Amino acid sequence: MKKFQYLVLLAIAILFLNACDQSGSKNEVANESEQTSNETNITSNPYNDVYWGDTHLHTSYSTDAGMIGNTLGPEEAFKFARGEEVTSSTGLKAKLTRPLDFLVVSDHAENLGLAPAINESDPELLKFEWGKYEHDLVKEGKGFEAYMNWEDKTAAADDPLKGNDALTRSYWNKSLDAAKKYNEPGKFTSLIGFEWTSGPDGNNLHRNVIFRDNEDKASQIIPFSLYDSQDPEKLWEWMQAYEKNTGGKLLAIPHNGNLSNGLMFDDVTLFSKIPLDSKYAESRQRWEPIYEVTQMKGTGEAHPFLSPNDEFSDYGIWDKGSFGAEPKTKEMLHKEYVREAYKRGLQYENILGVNPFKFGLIGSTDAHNSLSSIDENNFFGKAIVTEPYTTGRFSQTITGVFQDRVKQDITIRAYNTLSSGYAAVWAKSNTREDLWDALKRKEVYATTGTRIKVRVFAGWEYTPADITNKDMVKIGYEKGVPMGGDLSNAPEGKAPTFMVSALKDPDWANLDRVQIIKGWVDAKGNSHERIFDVAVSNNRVINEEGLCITKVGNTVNVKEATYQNTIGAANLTTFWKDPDFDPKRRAFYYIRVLEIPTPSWVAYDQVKYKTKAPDDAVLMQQERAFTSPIWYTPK
Amino acid sequence: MKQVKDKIVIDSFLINELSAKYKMQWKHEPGLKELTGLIDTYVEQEVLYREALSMNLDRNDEVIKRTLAKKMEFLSDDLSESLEPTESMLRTYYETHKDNYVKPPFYSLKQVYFSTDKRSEAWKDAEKALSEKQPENSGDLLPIPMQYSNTNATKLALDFGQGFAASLDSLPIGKWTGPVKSGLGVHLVFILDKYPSGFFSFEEVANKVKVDYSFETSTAFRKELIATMLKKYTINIDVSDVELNKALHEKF
Repeated sequence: MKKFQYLVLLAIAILFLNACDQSGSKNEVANESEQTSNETNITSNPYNDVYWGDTHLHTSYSTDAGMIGNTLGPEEAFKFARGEEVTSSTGLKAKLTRPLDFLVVSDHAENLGLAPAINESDPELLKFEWGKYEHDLVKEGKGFEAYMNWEDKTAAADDPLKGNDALTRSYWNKSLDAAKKYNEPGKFTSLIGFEWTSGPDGNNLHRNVIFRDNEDKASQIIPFSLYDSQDPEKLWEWMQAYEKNTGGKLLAIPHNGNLSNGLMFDDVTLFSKIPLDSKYAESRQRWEPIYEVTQMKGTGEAHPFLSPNDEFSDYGIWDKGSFGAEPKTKEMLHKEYVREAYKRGLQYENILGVNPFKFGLIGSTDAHNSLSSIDENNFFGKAIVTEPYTTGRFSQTITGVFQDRVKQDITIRAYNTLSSGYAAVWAKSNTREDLWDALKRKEVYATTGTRIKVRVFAGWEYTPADITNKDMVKIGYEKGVPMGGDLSNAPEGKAPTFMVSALKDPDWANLDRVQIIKGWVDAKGNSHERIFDVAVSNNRVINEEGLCITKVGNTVNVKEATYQNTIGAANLTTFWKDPDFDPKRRAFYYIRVLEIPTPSWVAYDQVKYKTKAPDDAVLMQQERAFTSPIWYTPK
Repeated sequence: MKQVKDKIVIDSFLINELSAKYKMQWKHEPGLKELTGLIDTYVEQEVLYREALSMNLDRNDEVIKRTLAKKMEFLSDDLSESLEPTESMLRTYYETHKDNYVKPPFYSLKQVYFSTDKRSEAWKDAEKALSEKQPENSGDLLPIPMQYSNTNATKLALDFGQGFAASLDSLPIGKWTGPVKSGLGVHLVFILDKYPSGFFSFEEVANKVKVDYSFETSTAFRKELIATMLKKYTINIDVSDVELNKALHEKF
């Protein structure tokens, strides 16, 4: 204790010096009650407001971020998300154009905190032979070799620091401390979460686990990792145990089915390879109410091969393979993309009585540089090695590292990265509880990065007059359900009616069109899809098939990276009634909103940094929003 | 002569500590047999540890050095966290970093929207409506509120666009005015009340100041602590390399 007293004396001396330096006033400790009283003023809207955020962001605590140069921890991530300027790991000043409302720091569970532990020569790390070996490699300047050692271990699901609970716990607790500090109910929300990184043979089955709870409950566990199990069913068991033990609440958000080589929405379970049954379907529906449909590594709504009649199904497609060696085949695609999963979910429900693929949609970034920055003209890249001015900005290999190159090149490089996406959440207020509850009830949607405001209500009794009523939203909730909801009990002779409203991002591009995408299963059990253009800009005609075949036009100047809002609409609001409704058949409906064409981040980059992207780079695009569906279930 | 023996004490403090460690690992209290086993292991380790110390085996051992240095750093971190900054320190920090606490203007306002989607002459229509008695009876629907109460410019920028929010500053208070362009179209605006931009008071942002202060000072505190401890030492530099010698002399 003697040494501790010595330190205390030193510390007091320092504090005393500080106090004298700074005006010599009294040493009053700041009043705690005064500070917490700021939290009481939270605005709440019973009809919900939209809140913008990122549920998927990595900091230096993620080993695949920290060991390849990310030095920014959770605190910097929160600062950046709430709109403050931070200095990126490569030394660039970084600031969001507009602040976010919430952020989940979702660092990988596997050896959480390894990079900062190496950096700080953490004794808990050095206790382990492998930890010391890695530590010494990094300190000798062989960081990449050390990282590849870790990659080998984690790819083999072999925890190189087995039994290291103390180390993981200490960084989990640090992460929780940061979340607690930056959580300001009503102003900015830090939701607690982590990423479980299951990837058998490099096939992506990752899930982000999101807590409704505060640190008191979240600190009772350490994150479930792929070392514990690669099986999603085991993750759900773990989540259930957490809820039972703590009284807390969790949900999991899978992502990148496009890199799962057919495993994300497979017809059989992962390891036992038995056909999905009702128990599996119930569990999946319970624990995974949301899917991340768009992010930097591609968009997974639809695929041109699966939906050949959908001219907009080709946005951000990454379909060469997974993280592993195996190239993609066409037979895998229907088990990777959302629209097909929704259709198959209805077929499963016919057989099992439960739909295993009933989930809402959000977008998020999956950035690995602690910066949720995805404006096309302010894109900070996926990782440190692809930040502006880096040599890897366009050329860095993202997938295909472990491929057998002789057979078929399945490399995807950084210039194919999307500057996408965000999660839009319709919640009563900006708090952990209200945001989480909105995710759970699926009243959420995805955008590819712009802030398009989308609402949809479905019911049996809406009229065209309701959409011009000033109380449209109130009527929406009273006479029907919002996105993510369910319709049933179709009244005799009625078809579902919809009120849809899309408002452009006021600081970005106008809107091209609003579409309703319907899927259903017929009497023989076959699934179908159909796209309806329900509102289009510039007085274009929607034909009897429900389609507008006239394109909106294009104002993009690729060379200068500009566009004009001289085409398109600011606001598209409409009433729609399903013209082809069969009350005996299951169906789903979701909204897709398209913007007019705008330059991609690659086009902005070429102008801003005077670089040249490969010839096949996407230079213009139509950004978009996808809502969670509304499902119809016959009685 | 009677040899003076070192003492190894087995008391309730030790037993509680050993039990707690056991329980953390096995999730239940140790029984009598487990406990005597734990104590046996403890005594063995303690004897070896003390003999090792008496033989000075702890000196110049790289692992022990690193562990002890790290322990000191952890102590200093704990201290910097446990010693709450005083209010005067936080106030000084707030004053010297005031640019981080800029308060945007707040407005209470009503607006009427003239859709450029629906009107070929939205601007002219707005001007015409302004010249009429009750502009709020004109205009088009928009799926955002017609009225905002005490709302900051950052939020208004999210709804209407940054240009619109910036242009509010120059508008007169207490009457219909415009047209004003936004990212959505054209508006007439009635500013009911305005709270000009400035700085959040210390009280309004006390929490944020504290978070910012601790973010900046946690590493600064450790550096200062080491510097203070260094004052007890003189550093003798005995290096033949001239450049290195010079660099070290500059550093210390």
